[in-house]
Amino acid sequence: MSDSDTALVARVVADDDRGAFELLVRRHQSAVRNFLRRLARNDVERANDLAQETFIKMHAGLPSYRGAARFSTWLFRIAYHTFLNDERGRRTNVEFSEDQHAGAEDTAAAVATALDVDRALERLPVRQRAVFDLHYKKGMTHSEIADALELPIGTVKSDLVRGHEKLKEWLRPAEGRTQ
Amino acid sequence: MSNDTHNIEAALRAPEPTLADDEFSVNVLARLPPRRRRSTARRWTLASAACLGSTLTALFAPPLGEAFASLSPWMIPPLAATTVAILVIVMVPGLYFLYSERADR
Repeated sequence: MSDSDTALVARVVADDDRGAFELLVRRHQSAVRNFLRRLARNDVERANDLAQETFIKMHAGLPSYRGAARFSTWLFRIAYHTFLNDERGRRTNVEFSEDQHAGAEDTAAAVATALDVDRALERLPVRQRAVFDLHYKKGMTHSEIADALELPIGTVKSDLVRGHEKLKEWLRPAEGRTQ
Repeated sequence: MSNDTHNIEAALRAPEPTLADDEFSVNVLARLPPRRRRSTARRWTLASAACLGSTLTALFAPPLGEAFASLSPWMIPPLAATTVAILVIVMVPGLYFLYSERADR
């Protein structure tokens, strides 16, 4: 039987056990990298760099992990903030507009041609992308997502509803649209 | 639920691919800061040193004190001589431990 996340965390904190830390990384790397790929609009290299940074921050922050939330929830919180910091750094002198990609007409036309949910998801603002990924791909509850992203639970619910509306709008067949 | 909505929901719930670790975890480990000293080892070292120090003190301090008092050209009370012996026995491993801790940094 494999060690629980909590047991591995305890070993890392007590003895700086690198074997336990490696097990934690191996166990969660796929989910974290997929999550960051989603946020980074499938920029694989950037997602991998951010994932590495996430795990290094995790190592530094483990002594402060109190176990109040699930370990994965805590880890996705670090990943999300790592992405946001990187995003802000990339947009110096440019207003941090999460919706800037949403207005691209050519993308809209491309997305409208098929039920391409993944591409449509890329057009959502970063926070909604995070909410959708954690809900649908990681199976988190609304309260777990609120905890991970440090959002009110009402915001999580409304992000899901509004995101669905946008996806439906974007994925509607082209011939069915008035424009 | 319309067909479109059903399709979107199904696509959203499709499992994501499991990414192979490849060299990812190795690269993360390579970027970690140097390893801390094992605190368990440190605790055992301290406990062992304390036990050894107590044993040595109990065994050798009184005879050493007596020998020191008899060899000294001055009149040193046996109790004071024993105290000096105890201090020497305790301080030598103590100083060595402090030195090794400094060297480890």
